[in-house]
Amino acid sequence: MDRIYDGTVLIIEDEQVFRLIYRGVLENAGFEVIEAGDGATGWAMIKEKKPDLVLLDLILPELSGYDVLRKVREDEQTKNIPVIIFSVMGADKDVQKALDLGANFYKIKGANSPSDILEQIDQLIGKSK
Amino acid sequence: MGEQQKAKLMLVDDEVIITNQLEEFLNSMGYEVVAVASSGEEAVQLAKSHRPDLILMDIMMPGKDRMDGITAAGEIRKECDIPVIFITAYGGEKIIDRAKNVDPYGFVVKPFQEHELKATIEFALYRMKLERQLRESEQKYRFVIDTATEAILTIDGQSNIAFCNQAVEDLFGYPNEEIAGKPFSFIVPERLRLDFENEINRFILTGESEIIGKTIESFGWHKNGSEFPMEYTLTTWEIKEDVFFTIIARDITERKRIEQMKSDFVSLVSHQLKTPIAAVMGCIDNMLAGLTGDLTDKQLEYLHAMEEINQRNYRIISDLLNISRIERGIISVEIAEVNLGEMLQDAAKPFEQNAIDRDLELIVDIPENPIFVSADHDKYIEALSNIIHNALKFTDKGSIHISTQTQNGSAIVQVKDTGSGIMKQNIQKLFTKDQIFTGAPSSKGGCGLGLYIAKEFMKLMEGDITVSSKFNQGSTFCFSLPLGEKSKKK
Repeated sequence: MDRIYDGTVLIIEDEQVFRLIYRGVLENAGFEVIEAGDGATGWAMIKEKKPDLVLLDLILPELSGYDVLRKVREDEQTKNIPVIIFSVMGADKDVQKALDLGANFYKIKGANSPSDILEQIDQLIGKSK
Repeated sequence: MGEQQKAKLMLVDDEVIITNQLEEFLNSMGYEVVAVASSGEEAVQLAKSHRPDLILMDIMMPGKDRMDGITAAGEIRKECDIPVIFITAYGGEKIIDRAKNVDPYGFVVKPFQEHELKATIEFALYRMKLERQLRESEQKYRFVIDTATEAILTIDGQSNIAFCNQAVEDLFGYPNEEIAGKPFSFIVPERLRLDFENEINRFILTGESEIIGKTIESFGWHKNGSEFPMEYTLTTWEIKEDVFFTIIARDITERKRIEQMKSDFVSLVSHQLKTPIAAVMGCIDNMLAGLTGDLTDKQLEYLHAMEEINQRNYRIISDLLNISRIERGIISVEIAEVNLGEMLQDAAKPFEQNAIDRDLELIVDIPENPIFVSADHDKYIEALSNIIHNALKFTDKGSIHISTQTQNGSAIVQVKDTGSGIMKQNIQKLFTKDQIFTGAPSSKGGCGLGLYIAKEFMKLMEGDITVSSKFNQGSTFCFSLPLGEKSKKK
């Protein structure tokens, strides 16, 4: 696949195997990938590194995905960073809650191929080249 | 009165000559005189201690205690419930009016013929026997009703509570005397009262009702202001011209709690199972996308096999989750105007490869002029794909043909296969979740919940799904949905 993107994506996800999968897709597309294994570390990294995009799981230790999302949207310096939720939970109320809190997209893990996420990334930050 | 047991009588008169004569006469008639009193007060005392079956009472007894026969009779009625026949020389209107109030079983005016007195006593004893039988029969029913753990209420034609059993107090917190006469809707929370009343009134006016004779889940309202899950059955009956209703209600808090636990458990387990499946799927997808380097044909074949198994697992778990959501009533639909042809293509696309691999024809007839329907896009696709998936699963040769037509404001989609068909006795159960519990797992894989979910989704969108099938000759599934505004105008 052509390396058509640049920029940094932060993956906040406690399951190592999902970090591996999305790192694979994102690096292949040209992104620099950084990772956090829990919500609190993730939020600290968002403030410090100001990534171009955040991939955020919902069920996380320390700070849940909903809490991280709320903090991102409440902080002047981070409120415009695009956030894509990816979770195994797919009930209407879970999706609605995340969208209400300001998530840009909601992907259900397992329902789509991981590389499908690039379509949403295109819509959010566009191709660089 | 039969020989087996003599009726026990008590005589009350202040004239000893009269009581002696009467006693003699009564004994000769076969009655037993168990007590004789000469004043009102003495009569009350002896009635209490001797418990006769019937009392013959003089009214005018100007003795020391001034209690006349009527007052004494009233007292005895109240305390011992023993009936009285008045024997008096004074039959004036005032006396008769007063006497009526204590409900005498007879009124004999002196002087009287002996056979007159005998007939009066016999009638009184007969009436007592009937009343005792009635009372016993009533007590029997009363006992059944009062020991029932269900609350039982009757409602009169004015929609007021006329009768309650003991369990009403346990369930709603109101003692009988507090709730009697209140409007019946008193037992449900305020927000539900109007609907409840309207339903009853509709029945009274039209004789039609959705709820008569059915068991309905609702909520009850306790005196302390708390709501609880309640199930009730409403029945109706008539006496002469009057309509009555009976409500039998029970608390279903515990049942609801267990249902909720079951559902939460399914939801929790499903999510736990989904995570590893999604992870394996992600790995396979990345390998197939070439992220791990070039793959040999053999490696590709193995990966595709893994992918298929994994997708099947994912589908089963999604089905379980959907069922648990339907059961908990937390599923919602987002209705929009959607293009039917595009949806059919989207739904059929994932199955194209499978059809080609198995040498089946998968034909989708897209309508020439676009048809718009009001539907929830994702749920309609899921319902359709459940049916197409099923059709492919049960068809070994021939075709799956998807076509559309419009009819009376509805859009109909037909999915017709040339597969094994459905046996007549199984058609009724087809769209129920009983499938999963009927034992033998399907040799074709899956747990048979797809059709139930498809039907529930269609109902949520105000559509429906039906089937016609002949065993060994294939099945046709019909989806109906309301047409969208854009298609209605044409």
